[in-house]
Amino acid sequence: MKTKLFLLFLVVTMIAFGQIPSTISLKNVDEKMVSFSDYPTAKGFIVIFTCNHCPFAKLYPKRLNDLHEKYKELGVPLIAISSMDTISYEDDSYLKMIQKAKKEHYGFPYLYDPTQEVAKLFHAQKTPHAFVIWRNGDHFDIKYSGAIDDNGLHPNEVENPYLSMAVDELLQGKKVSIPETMTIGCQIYFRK
Amino acid sequence: MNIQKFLRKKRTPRIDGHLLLLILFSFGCAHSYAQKLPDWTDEIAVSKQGELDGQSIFITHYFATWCKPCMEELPVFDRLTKEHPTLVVKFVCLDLENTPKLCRSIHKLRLPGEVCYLAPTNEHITHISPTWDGTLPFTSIRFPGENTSIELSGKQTSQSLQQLLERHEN
Repeated sequence: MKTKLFLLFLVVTMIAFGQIPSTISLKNVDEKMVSFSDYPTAKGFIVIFTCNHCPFAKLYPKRLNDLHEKYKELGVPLIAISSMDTISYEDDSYLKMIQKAKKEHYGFPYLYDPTQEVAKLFHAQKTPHAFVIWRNGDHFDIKYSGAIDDNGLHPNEVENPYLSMAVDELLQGKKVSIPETMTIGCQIYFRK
Repeated sequence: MNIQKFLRKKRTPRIDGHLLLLILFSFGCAHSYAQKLPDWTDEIAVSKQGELDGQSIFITHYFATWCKPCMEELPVFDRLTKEHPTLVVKFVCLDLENTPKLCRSIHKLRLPGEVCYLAPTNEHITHISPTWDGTLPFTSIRFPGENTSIELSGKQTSQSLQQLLERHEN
C-alpha cells in the first residue's frame, strides 16, 4: 500500500513538473504494447495526439510520416496517440484506427489511449496536438507543446514549422526558442 | 406569325428570367450553386459593433460544421434571440474551406443572424482575441455601455447563456 502511494505521489509530482514517465505503455494498431522504454537509444520523442475523425488531423498524415522518417534516424521517433472518446466518435474506435493506419501507410506507432489517462498526463487538448519530449535520466521532460506548424490547410505555405524547429534546436543542444504555440483542431473531451 | 403571337412568345421567357433572378436573390446560396459565405471583416468583431449601438447586446459566435459540440450548441441561439429582442447575433464559420456547399449547408441551418467565413489559422484566432486558445465553439458577448467583451470558450448551455443575459439586463 505504502509503495503504491509513493508511486502515485511520484507520478503526480512528475506530471506537475511536465515530466513524462518512460514506463507509459499503450496498445498499438498491430495489437502489440508500445512504451517509450522500448526505445533505449532514443534522445526524445515527437508525440502527436491525433484521431481519425477530425478534419484538422486529416490534413497531417503525410507530414507525420515525413517527420518520422526524418527524425527517427536522428534518435527522435514519432509516436501518435488517439485519446478521443470513442463513445462520442465511432470513427475513432480501435478498429477504425487500424484501418486508418493501413490506409495512410503510417510508418510510426499509432497507439490507443482508451482511458484518456495519457492525454491527461500530457495535458493534450486537441487533435492534432504535438509535443516534443526529451530524455532526462529515467523520464522525459516536455520541451514543446502546440501546433505541428502554422498552416494546416496549405503545407507548401508553412512559414513556421514549430515542431521541427523545436526538435532541431534540441538536437543542437539549444533551448527551445518557442516552447508553446496555440493548437487548432478538435477538442479532446474527457469522459467524467 | 402575327404580332400578338410574337410578343407572347418573346415575353414569356423574359418574365420567367426575372422570376428566376428574384428567386435566386431571395434564397441566397440555397439556390445559387456558386455562392460562398461572405468573408469575415473587422466590422464583424464584437468590440467594433459595441460602439455602434447603445442598446443592443452583441454576440459573435465562432463555430465550424466539423465541430460536433458547435453543431449541438447552435439551436440555443434561436431561443435566445426570440426571448431577448435586443440581442444581435453574428456567426463566424471556421470550416477548412469556404465552398458553395458549405454556404448551402449553413443556409439550411436557418441561423438567427448573419453568417460569415473565416479561415481557421493561428493568425486569425490571435487577431480576434489574444486570450482565445482556438477552442471551438467560442462566444464573445458585448453588453451596451461596456468596454470589454465576455468571452466564453467551449460549448455553452441555453441556461448558462440565459442567466448571463438576464443578469446584465436586470
